[in-house]
Amino acid sequence: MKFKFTCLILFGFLFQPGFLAMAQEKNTAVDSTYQNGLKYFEVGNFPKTAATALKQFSVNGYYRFVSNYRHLNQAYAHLENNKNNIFVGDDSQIPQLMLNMSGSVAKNTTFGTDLYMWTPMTGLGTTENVKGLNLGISLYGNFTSSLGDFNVRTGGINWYSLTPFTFQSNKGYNRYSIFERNPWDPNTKNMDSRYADFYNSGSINQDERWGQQAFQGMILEASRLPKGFSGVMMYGKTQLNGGLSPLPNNSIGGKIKKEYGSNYISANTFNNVSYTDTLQQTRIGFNVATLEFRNKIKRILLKGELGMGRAFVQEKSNGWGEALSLKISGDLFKKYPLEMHLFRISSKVVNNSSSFINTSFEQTQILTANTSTQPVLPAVASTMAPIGQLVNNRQGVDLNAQVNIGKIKTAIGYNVSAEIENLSSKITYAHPVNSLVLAHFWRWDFPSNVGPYNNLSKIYRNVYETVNLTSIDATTGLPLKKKYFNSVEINSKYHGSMGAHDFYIYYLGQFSSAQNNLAPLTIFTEKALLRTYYHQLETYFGISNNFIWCNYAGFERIIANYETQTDVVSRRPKNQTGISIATGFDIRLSKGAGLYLRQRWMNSYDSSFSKDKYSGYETTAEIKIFF
Amino acid sequence: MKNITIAVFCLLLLNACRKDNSKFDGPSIQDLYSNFKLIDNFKCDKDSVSFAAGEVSHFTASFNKAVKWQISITGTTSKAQKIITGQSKTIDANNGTWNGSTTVFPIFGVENCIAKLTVEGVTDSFLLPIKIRSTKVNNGLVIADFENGFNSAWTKFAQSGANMDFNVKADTYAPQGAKYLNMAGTVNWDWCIGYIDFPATAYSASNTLALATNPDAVFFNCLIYGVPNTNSSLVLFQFKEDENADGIFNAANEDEYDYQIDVNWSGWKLVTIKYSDVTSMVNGQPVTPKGNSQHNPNKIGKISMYHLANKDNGFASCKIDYLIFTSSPIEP
Amino acid sequence: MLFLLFSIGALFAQQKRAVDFIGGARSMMSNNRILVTDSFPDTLTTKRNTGGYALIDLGVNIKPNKNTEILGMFRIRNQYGGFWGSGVSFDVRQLWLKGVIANVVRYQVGDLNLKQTPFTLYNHHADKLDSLPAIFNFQNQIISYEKFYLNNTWRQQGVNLDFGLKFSKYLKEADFDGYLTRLLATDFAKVPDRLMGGFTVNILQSKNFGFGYNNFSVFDVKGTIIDSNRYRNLVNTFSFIYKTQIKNKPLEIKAEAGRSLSETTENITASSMQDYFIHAYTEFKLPKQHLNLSLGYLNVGPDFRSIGAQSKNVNYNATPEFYNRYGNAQSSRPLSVMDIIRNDNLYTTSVNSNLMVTSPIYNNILPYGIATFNRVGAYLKAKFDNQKGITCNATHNNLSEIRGQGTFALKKFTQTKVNAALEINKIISTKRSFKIQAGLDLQSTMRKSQVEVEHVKLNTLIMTVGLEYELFSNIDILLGTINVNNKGNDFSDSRNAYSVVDYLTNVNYDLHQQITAFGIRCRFSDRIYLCGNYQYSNYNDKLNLNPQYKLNQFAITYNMTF
Repeated sequence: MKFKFTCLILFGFLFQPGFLAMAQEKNTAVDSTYQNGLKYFEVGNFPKTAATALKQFSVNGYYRFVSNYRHLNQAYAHLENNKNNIFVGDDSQIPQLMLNMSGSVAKNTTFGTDLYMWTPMTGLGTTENVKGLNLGISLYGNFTSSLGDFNVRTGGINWYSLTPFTFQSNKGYNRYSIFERNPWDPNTKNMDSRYADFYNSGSINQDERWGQQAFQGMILEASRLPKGFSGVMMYGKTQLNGGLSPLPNNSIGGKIKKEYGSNYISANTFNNVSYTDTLQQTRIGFNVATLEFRNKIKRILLKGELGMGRAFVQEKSNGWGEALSLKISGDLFKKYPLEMHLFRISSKVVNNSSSFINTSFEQTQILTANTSTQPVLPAVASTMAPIGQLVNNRQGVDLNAQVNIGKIKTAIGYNVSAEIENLSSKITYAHPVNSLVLAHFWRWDFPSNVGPYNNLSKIYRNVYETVNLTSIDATTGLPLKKKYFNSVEINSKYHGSMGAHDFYIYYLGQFSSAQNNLAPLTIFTEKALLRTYYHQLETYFGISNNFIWCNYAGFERIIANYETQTDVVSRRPKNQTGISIATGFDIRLSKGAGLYLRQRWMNSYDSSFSKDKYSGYETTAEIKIFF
Repeated sequence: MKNITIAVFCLLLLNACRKDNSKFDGPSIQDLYSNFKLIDNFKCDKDSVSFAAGEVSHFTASFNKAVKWQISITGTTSKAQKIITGQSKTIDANNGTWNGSTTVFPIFGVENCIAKLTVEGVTDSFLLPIKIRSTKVNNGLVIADFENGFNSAWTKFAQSGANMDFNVKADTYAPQGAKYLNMAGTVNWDWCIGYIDFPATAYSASNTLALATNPDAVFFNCLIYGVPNTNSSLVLFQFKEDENADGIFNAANEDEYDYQIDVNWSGWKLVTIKYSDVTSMVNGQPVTPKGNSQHNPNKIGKISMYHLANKDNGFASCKIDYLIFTSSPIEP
Repeated sequence: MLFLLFSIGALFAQQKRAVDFIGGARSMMSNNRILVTDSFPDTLTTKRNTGGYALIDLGVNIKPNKNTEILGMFRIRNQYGGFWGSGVSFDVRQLWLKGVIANVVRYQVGDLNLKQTPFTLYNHHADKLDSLPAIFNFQNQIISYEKFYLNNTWRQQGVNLDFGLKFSKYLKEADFDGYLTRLLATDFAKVPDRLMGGFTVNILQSKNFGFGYNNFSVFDVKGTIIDSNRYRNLVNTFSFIYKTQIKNKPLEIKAEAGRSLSETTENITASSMQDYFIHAYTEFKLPKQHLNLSLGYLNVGPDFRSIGAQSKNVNYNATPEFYNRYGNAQSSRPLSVMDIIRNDNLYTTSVNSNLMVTSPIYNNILPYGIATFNRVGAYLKAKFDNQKGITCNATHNNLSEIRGQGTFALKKFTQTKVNAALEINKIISTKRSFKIQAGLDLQSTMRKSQVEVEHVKLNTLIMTVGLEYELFSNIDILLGTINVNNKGNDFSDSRNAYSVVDYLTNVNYDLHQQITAFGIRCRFSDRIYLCGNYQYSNYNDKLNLNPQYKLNQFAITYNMTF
């Protein structure tokens, strides 16, 4: 009470008549910035000064609506009761709305994040809507010093590559169909740019992840170091050892590069250690160390990577194996670009973050129960890969050439390769003609060993099939002989015009075989364990600057011999036929906005395996807007 | 001003002698750390008690200082134990009341008991007889106490492994009543050894369990026995909410909440969890529920109970009894 | 959030400079390892773990007009290892509106960072280690950022008003600052609505004399629950400051005195507590000698309760972020100095109505800062700064209890703290910064009694040494070590809900803790750095009350504040 009384007296004194009239406001800014040194203590709400604002902040991104309607006349058993299907969205987890946000904190530091939103439009309303981050949060910084320039990236997913054997995904030779749009394909300024670029340069515009791998953690790059040196150090997680588990499952890699003139040599490494149990009793992982070089001698360019690697479980390892990739390129007769690629990768070299596929080392996903990564590992089997796709336990040679005659541009690829050891009694191969449609048979995850004969596996937008060999050792389960592979690819492109209308015609033929003997060319007879023939013909007709008419025809044949698993009823080996006819339109709606329509009729059957057949059509509508 | 300052400082210096000798805070250290003496004998307000009728028994005693004490009441027949602990100078109704509940299982029966008071640091103990005339009644929805064997509405699956046992047993292990469920076996190809589905229709005419709507007011309790020296069992409860009450749980668009218990102890143990604390999991990892993402205990359509164990570690075994929903954590 | 972003875009387009972005971004990755020394080998604890996160705090500062400002800040956090959107959380970190009414009264509604005087509302950071080497200090600053520690403020939510007046006669000016915030929201059953309010009136009478009145209160709102028993804590204080000169040397006298009341209206087990405090000090400046000398007097009654000033920012009952159990017995791991330095989930943001647990390991002299109740005595401070790279601060506290704890005998507290820093680059005039710092904190608690069991003797020695050397331009090498040693005994009090002592436990200490760290820091700017550091700590309880353990950590931190 005494204090209250004192207060009253005090206030009465302060605000007596006449006294108040002389009062005036002292500080009227929103932020109180004055300092009064005659206070017992500075009191009130803090901070008294305004915070420094961000230098720059930007938001961009894209909206992508995609929807499929599928009707099947003949369906696999698991779709027998769902022959018609409507699907809105993209189960490759590309969202409808993606916002990319970035801010510049200072002249040399930035951060970035993204935000996606997706509504599956199933009728449930807001409860089903999904939001989240796709690549997460990344922080960037660069730093210049007398020692050199340094660049650092930390945080969320960064797309990055070192070298093909250490950390990179396969880039290939740009021989593929471009009829179906990928989720990440951009809109181009002119509607026909996508097709013109493919004709002119052999590639369409790719987003930043082309050839790169996702990495989370820290990447420190150093450039302009003394004496032409530069380097990279990376520490963190790849998709395959990611996850929210506190187990120290990490990868570490790096590169030291010495440049001389336009050439270079670099020492590279990538290593992983993961634990499969919470008490960290079981340790698995791999090590890869390589030298990469580029050396141009007159008109001949030598480029390659050689090194060694191993995989281990606890302290056990099969030892180190060799990995070699040497590319010699130049222009034949000063006119025709030619490249020879020699490669050999031991079965002991394992690295799922590299550009080669593991076909030798049986492994499991680390903590497969973890939902925070995409647990996709290719099956361990001898794969019939397209030219340029390396696999381990394989040696061989590729030849690639470009022949341009008039308006016809033709890329030719040739491959002959052999297994180093006979480790797998399985061969895997793809179905490129109907691959995307087939992948849509299984939504939201990437199952293995599904389909009417449990031999189909889905990886993202592709499906591959496994065929078992029968000539195997009854005790070990291993094949009696090594396998040899041949492949020829021809990609011809023609650009013509009818009046003011440009048109493009592309043909892609791929002819491959796997057999038990070395052969100079693809085997087209029963001697081959498996033969795959793919034909894809595409035309793109520019009706106007804003309207492209697209057409596609595809045909594939896959034929196995009697040394592979036969059907129990027909007692015949695989004999598959795939046909696909498609048409569509690319329509420019406005600047940065495009509508893409596709209609595909497909028919696939195996004349030996009666349950392996489907036919029908799929309609796709896609609207994509960049902003 | 100079004088004022000097005056203020003089006052302060005088005040520096401030002491409060009239009392001290807390109990006397001398008392706390001197020798123990029992002032009032250890007593109970009843020599027999009927818990079913809502009676409780109060223990009393007082000491010369605050001590850490423990009253353990042991059933002479069942060997069940109730432990009451405290730290005080007196034991009275506030801190020494027994409502018939059990700490060490099996649950008390109608039997004679001995209450024993021990004091930390004191070798002597003090004993009292007390008789249970009727046992404590727990209010709640009993999902399974196995007293009537296997309910035909339940669905059971057991793998065809070695030494399999997924049966109701009646022996001295029973912690509540006379029977319990024994779950054991060696399944070297799968984590799942067996499971039982308890559908809501086994308990009511509707497709969902008759539980409160507030998930903070629904507790799931059970007694689990960990068998020593065997592969550690996991007991997984899946609470499947039939949100549209159509009698079918749709995993794609209805919530499933899970509670996984790592049975890493030996003997019987009470496990209790608030329904709002159970989470959706797949393979032990948290996931987003597929339905309305709200805990709706009144919409539980089915409870699945799995017995799991690491397939690489051989024989696994545990026992379970008295699965019951209550409105507060049970004190059986 | 989408709406927010688009709204921002619209505002940005309409009126440039109406929208600013502020906040921070950070990524952190760490690898940790624990090594336990126990009588049985520890086969249960996961020895190594990895963790980390990347986060962005994006604050949108909107100024619709010159008198109004709105800040909404959301946090996006991505846990290390979460790919493709897993491990992501979205939170609102700050939201407030502030402005000026009629060009006179400034207001802020929403999140506030409030401070009054050290005996009313004040975050003392009582256990913060002085002279923290830079390699530890940046970790501590992250905690400060996370918990909104700013000028000894407490984070509150409510409303704040302030205005100032200038006068033509009698007085020069008066400043008023008042606030009302909510500490607890009712659950309609047992928890009442609990509000915290207060105001300060500071009056400047002349350029040499000012005085003020401070009011602080916490109270339960009647009728928000059925229980009519209500808590109340009321503190009223007067403060003054007087400046003069003695032989042209500045002398400053500051003082604060007041009373407190703490009660629950219908409490049957504890009577209401009332007590007073006096705190006064004088500061004498010797500019030629680069020396400031202070002499202070402190007298805080044993029943003085001011929860705004006696809340601790470290919650010693909190669970550490990792390795919260260890050893084969999986016992609770006692907190180590590494936890105190880097573990933000031990720290609190708001005041706590209950008296919080103290830790004699770090501060047994003034565990609640200068507002610690039951203390009387004097202190002496000296500060030396020659402006040429040599600084030294020294403090000596000589205090005593006013009322005994479990006995009439009183504890005596002495503390000597010396912190020194040498900026060698200034001393020898080189370009690259080179700083060495060292600190010493010697604490002694003694109680002598005729009864031996009441004896207390606890000595604490905390030593810090740090080094900071700029190896290349803006690239620093950091080194640091901290030693904490406790030996002796003291009685630990356990208090009931009304902060009344109900038990005293004699605790013996023979504890040695050490943490040593080294790292490299790259400074992009004053507010942006990348730091890689390795630190190893040792917790050695020689009495074996807890198993000995070593905790090692490698961490990479990239921090941006904007």
